[in-house]
Amino acid sequence: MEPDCSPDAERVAAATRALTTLAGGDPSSAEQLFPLVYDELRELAGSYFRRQPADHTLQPTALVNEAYLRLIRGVAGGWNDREHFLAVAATAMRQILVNHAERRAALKRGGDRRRLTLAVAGDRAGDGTPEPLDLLGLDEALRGLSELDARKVRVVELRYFAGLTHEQIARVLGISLSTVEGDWRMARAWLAGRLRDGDGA
Amino acid sequence: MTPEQFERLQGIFERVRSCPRADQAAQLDVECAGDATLRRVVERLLDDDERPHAVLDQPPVAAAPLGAGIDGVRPDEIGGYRIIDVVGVGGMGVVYRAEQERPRRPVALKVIRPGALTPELRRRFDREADVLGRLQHPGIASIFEAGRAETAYGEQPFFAMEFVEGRPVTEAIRDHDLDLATQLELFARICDAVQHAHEQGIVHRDLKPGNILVDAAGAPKVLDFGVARLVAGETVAATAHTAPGQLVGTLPYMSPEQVAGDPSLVDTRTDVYALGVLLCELLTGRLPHDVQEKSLPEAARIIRDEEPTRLGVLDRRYRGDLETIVATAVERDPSRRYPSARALASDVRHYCRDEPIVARPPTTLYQLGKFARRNRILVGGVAGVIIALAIGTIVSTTAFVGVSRRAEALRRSHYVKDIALAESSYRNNEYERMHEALARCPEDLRHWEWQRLTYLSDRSDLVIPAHRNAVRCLAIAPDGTWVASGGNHATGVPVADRDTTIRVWETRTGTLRLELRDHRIGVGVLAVSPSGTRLASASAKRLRDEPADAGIRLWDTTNGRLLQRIDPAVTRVAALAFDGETHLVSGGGDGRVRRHDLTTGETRVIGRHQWDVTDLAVGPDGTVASSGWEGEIHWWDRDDAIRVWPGHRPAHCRSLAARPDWSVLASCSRAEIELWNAASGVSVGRLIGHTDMIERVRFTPDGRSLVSASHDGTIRVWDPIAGVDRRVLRGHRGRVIDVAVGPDGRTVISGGVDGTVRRWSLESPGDVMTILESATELNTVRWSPDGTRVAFGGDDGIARVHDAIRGRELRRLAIPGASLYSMSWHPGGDELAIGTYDGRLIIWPVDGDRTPDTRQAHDGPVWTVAFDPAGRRLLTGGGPGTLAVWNVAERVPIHSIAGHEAPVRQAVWDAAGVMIVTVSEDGTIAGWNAGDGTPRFRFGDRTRPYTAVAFDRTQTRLFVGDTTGGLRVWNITRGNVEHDLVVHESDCYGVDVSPDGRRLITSGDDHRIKVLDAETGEDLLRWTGHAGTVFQARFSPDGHAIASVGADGTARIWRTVDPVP
Repeated sequence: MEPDCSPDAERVAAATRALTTLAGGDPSSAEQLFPLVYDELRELAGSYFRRQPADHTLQPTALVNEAYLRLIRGVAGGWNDREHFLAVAATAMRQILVNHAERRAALKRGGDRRRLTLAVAGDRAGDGTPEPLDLLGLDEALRGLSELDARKVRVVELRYFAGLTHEQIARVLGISLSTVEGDWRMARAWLAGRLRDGDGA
Repeated sequence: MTPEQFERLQGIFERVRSCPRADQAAQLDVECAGDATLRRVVERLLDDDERPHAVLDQPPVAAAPLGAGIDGVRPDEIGGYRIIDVVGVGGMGVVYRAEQERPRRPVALKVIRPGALTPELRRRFDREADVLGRLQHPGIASIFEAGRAETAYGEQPFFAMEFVEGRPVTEAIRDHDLDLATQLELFARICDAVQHAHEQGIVHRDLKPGNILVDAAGAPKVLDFGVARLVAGETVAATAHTAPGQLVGTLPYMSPEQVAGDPSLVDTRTDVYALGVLLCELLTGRLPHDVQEKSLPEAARIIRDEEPTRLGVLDRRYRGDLETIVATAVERDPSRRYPSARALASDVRHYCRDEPIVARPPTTLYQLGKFARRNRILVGGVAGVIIALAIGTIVSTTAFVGVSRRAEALRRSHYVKDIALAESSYRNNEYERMHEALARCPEDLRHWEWQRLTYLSDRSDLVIPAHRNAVRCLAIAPDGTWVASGGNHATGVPVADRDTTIRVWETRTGTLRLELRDHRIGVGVLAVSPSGTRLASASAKRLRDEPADAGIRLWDTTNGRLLQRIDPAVTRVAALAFDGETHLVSGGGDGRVRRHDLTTGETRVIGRHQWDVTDLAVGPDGTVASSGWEGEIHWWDRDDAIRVWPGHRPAHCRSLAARPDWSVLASCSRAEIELWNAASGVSVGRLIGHTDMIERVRFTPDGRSLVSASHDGTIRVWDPIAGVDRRVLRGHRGRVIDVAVGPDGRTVISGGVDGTVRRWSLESPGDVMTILESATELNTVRWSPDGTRVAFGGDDGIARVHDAIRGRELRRLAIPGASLYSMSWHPGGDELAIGTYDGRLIIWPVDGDRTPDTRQAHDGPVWTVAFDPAGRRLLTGGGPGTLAVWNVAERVPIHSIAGHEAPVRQAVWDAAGVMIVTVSEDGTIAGWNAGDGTPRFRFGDRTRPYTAVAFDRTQTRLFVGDTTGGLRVWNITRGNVEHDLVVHESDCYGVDVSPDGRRLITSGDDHRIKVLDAETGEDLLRWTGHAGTVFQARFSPDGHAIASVGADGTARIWRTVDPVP
């Protein structure tokens, strides 16, 4: 796809179609939307990773929103559309970040090093303490969780990788707000344990 | 755990959690009813539920907790500051560029995330914030205000700081080519700023290059004074527990007392330590503790327990006072460090003015102190020695800092840094950076290390600057004589500036044969017909605001004529392949696979993917396989009976290749290749090694290898059966997009975003040529005098002579029951002398059928044999400490000397053949008159067993390796040690000097081979050469290659140029 830097017109059309049917209640459209969103996000993130020095700030929300604007342009989409889009983008974003983290981990080799990946902050801005985001560890833990309760993984993804509020998550997943809150709380505690023990798998 | 158990767990968790705290224990008793394991699990969940979590509570959606909603909206204002921009996001919060209303000035507003502060930290924040506000110094970024603001997310503490436009001090120094004196003055000014804060009672605790910026005027500014303590808690080690890896950037600058986690030990001297680390990094580009690759606990242990590497070891030119200054600053014991940043700055300035420094070489001082305490009577005498040493230091320093020599030293130091940068870029697949660093190296300084890196940086044997921008696709003629490339351009390039040509090149010479122009948009796919007379092409993409350029072009490759435009029935063709001469198969952006009849013009859809077709493979019988963007692989036979495999779903599949016998299909997704049994669709293997997206996979015609092109800038050649990459082809500057294999199976053609088409020979030697893999350790290696052959031997008792170019074995001699320890070629190149463990000397006429001459030479291992430069005499050494010289023609001993108290490990002739030097395990080095065996000199304090020796080019100095990993440079005429280096982690076993005398190689027990500057002892290139001890490494007679042998049983050749047969 190189050196494209704007989405293919076909991709845009397909994404819009898929999103429209998805928002219209056809969940299988998510499957069609995913590769489009993934691709778009990957390209955006890729150019972002290339542009920025290592360890600089990454803001997935900004990327997800940019992908939305680029792919779903010209559609008079309401918030409903956007939430559905973000729901798909959350998973894609997670994959992209994990791929990136894996790539960086592979470059550095060594088991311990695998856990120290993708600092989301640069300390150059006077921030002082870069917060490393153990994406691979989180991904591993999420995969473990998905075998126990896939819905909780979706809740985590939507909250964490697409920045949806609990209300939005409830609408997207068609569950009650209290269920979302319960899911999040349980998932959070469970993941915290896995991340601490390092036995996320 | 099963999903049912998990659900039950959640139920218990929620019920217990919703109980009042006082009743929770009772509820747990009820719920868990004697199940201790379950109870433990629930308790941990409850515990984790209450504890803040650094990662989970901080979505990467960085702005959200600070008031930015899902739209990424920034708050307009925080604490009265108008927010302009986000400049950084971290675990603790966000840093904004903001503007203060009155006085109107730009500020950096650091807003702490709610929840990042514990109650205790919050109290401290209030207590100390105003102290920080009083810190006023030109070298410190002022803190204007520290306060708390009400935001939509609750109360958030913030700092408003002076906004500094600058770059980290390490970058500023690197990019500005500052001379040593300027660098040191800059450093001293940083110390001044730190001193000022210390006088106000504020310790920084987190000094590192990222916190020390240099502004456009060249003035340093230290950021974040005291902030670390306020936001990160008392000890960094405490933080480390909650967020492993947080310390990555900081760790090398942390003092042992910080690592130990005892806050009571942290004081101003902690900052002195960090400044010492910084000085070391500024001067050498390296850190006193190499902890970057280490795990956190290991790194902490190293910092706490190990002596920092001395500056002079990192960079030989800084031995002397600068080394003393850094060593004093980074003393592990704070009481032995400089007492203040001012004292450190003062010594640095003394050095700049060529004045004596206050610090003394710490070890000497320390040892003297200890010694004096032990034995007061002797102190007078010892002090005399110290004074003598001190005078020596001053003299050598003065000589070193002469102005012109300083400029030269700087030039060399840049060379060393660029070599190091090129090497690290190579390891990280950053080829562009590597080329830049190599290009910066001054020509007169370039030597083996530069040639080696240059060689590794581009192993292609033909580079065609093919297209103005990127090469997007390739097709190679069935007979391999030509290759076609399609040019592509970025979106938005005006039509007039686009290179949308297809160019046909002679594969052998790289000359342009044809240029085909018809595409308006860059060419995305190419396919060549089985006869090679037809070429099909299609554009790469659909551009917005432009009509599609979707037509498939059919070209006559004999004359470049456009034969036909085929309507593909889709706006974008993503894949093309010929099916015989008369049919073409295309894959569309619409997911459809179509078969086009070129004679009738008929088009038929034969299959359909959910998303874009990404690649096609067509078998000789019309079998077609395709890969789709949705990840699936489809394949169908002549009758269009289709099989669909899920392939890589839900990930994408970018490329697909069929083994020529169609037994295996290979496809790629992301950075991995998967192999499929073509009959069953079962995955049979996975090839992992690329570090970025793979664009193309192709089999060699014999099906034994698979070639892949990747965004990581490399092409890999895989053995799909063994599952390993046999070769990594490096040379493209940037992503590699397409690859094709010639019909000979030995030529690979690639194209990349650097616009080049490159040709590679799979027959050229690899980056390292392993010419022998033996089951036993190999001990010795020697190049033949003409450099065409290499001899080696080891514990299997077989002496081997191999062709140095191809690595083939030429001759071998089995010496039953022997372990071969040493070898030497006769200068005529026809005889090889071999020494064995059991004391034998064998002279083997390598060419012809003469029988080898064997005799007992020593009572013990013959560690060394060497013909004299004229080839008339041969020396042997070893045994209990003896050296013997033999008449080669008559094979009789001339004399034998029992010169050492322990085995002689190596003996060498001087260039004139009049002197022999021996080094021994007894810790001495001896010189002998070759004529009569009388002694000439003896050096050495008998403390280090010596293992290897080589003369320098002037024949006045000796490089001597020892079992501590040290390398000493002895001056023969003066009898003193000029340099004392540590080159290996433990035993150094081999030392050799390049033919021109400018470089030195050492090898050792740490599996490494090192290339050093023979004049300065500077470490230029180092690599792990073997999977075991490297016993010997030798320069080839032309100096272009190094041969090495090791305990892993391999013999290897490291080249800088491809050999010419």
